[in-house]
Amino acid sequence: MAHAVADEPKAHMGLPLPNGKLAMWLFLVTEIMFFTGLIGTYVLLRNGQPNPRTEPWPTPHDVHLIEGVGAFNTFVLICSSLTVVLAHLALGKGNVKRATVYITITLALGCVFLVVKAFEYKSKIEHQILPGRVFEKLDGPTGASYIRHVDGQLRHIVEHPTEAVGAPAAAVEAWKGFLKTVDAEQAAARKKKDELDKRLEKKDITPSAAVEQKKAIDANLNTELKKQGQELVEKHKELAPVAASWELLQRLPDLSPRQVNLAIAGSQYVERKPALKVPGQTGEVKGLLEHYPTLHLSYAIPFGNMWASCYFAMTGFHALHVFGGLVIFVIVLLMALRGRFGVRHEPMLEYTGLYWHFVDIVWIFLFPLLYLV
Amino acid sequence: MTDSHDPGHHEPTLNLYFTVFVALSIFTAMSFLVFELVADKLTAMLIILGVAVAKATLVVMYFMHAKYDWGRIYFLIIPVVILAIMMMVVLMPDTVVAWHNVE
Repeated sequence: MAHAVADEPKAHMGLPLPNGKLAMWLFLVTEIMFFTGLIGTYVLLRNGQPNPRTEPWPTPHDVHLIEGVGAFNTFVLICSSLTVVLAHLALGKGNVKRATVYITITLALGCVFLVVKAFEYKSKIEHQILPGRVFEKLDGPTGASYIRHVDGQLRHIVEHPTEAVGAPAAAVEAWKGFLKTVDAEQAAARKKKDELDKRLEKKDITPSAAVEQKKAIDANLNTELKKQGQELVEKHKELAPVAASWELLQRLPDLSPRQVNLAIAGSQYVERKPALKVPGQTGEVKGLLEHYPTLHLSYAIPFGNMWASCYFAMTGFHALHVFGGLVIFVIVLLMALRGRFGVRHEPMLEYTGLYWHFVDIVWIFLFPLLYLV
Repeated sequence: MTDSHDPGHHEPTLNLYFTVFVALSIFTAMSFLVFELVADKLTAMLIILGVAVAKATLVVMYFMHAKYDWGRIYFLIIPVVILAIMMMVVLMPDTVVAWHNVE
């Protein structure tokens, strides 16, 4: 029947181009316009910022993007482009088995790309670099909600050291013991202050003396707790990030949103984003995240939401295209398994290859635009 | 007929594919190195984007066989490349060019 030969490339009226190839190229040129729309929007938003000096577009480092990972994924896709043309070449020479092997490798490489992408997405989700979840400015009501947000994050680290920094059981025990001591010492200090208040009511003591004594109680408490905390960290080094988070949590009520941001991200980061500067702040401050980069703590990223929207729109649609290609390769391999894949499928494999190379080309542009430029 | 390709070079060879692959890998390494080593951001950007265009051209010409099919698909590729470039250009003026001059 005509079915078996329907895939054969045939010359038609007009241009000597098989229908399948013409259709694939037509599809690809519409895809070019689709991705041009996405990339054009990204370039527009990125370059159309109102204050590029004080609120520059996020660098890859600001948004936890690792350039080496992007380069690796680029290489993976280039390799897969090679294996797909090799599969086509082998099939053209009648070597179905070799073609099947190359398609299997292509499928595996595509999966590697998606797995790497999935890890990248996971890191974005963990660090809350998601559209609508990034704090961009720290003034006004946003600042208050930023502090509430950080308060929650710090509490989580302090209360779940294993989850937050992978602290071993012995260290967690010691940490819990420390927190109990803190509670006890704080309660004792409160009691002393209450007694002072009572004496004040009875006019046993002058108000200025009461204030002085209260200050001394607080100072004592702080020195004592700090000393105990340092001893604990010396014994269990893995508790250092937890103790540092706890310390910031204690200071949180006295800090402004910009100061909190500075304590987390450090002065080098703030220097690059002048809109986040703390008035009067001079000298270098090492941020909590500079000491312990794995902690999940939010810092303000001007235009972070827009960055995230662009990133997920572009890489998301690209990943969807990669997935689509993988589905086709799986279908081809299933056909091969049932012995239904042969030399007559050479045109079909060529068209699949055209699509796959196009997906590679999109990444060739996305990689420098998102990671390098 | 516009078909002008040389029938003797119709089938790309294994060697050609590997050569293109090596070139693509070198280009990828190059853009990464330029990012790491070139301090001037504008120069780095121009090199990196130029390299990306070169890589895309290699893939289209050799892996996608456009070099061999050129006489039969140019009428699809050329208009879309023009439209894509035009679309990028016309998106820019308002915010990118005008915005900074307002204030």
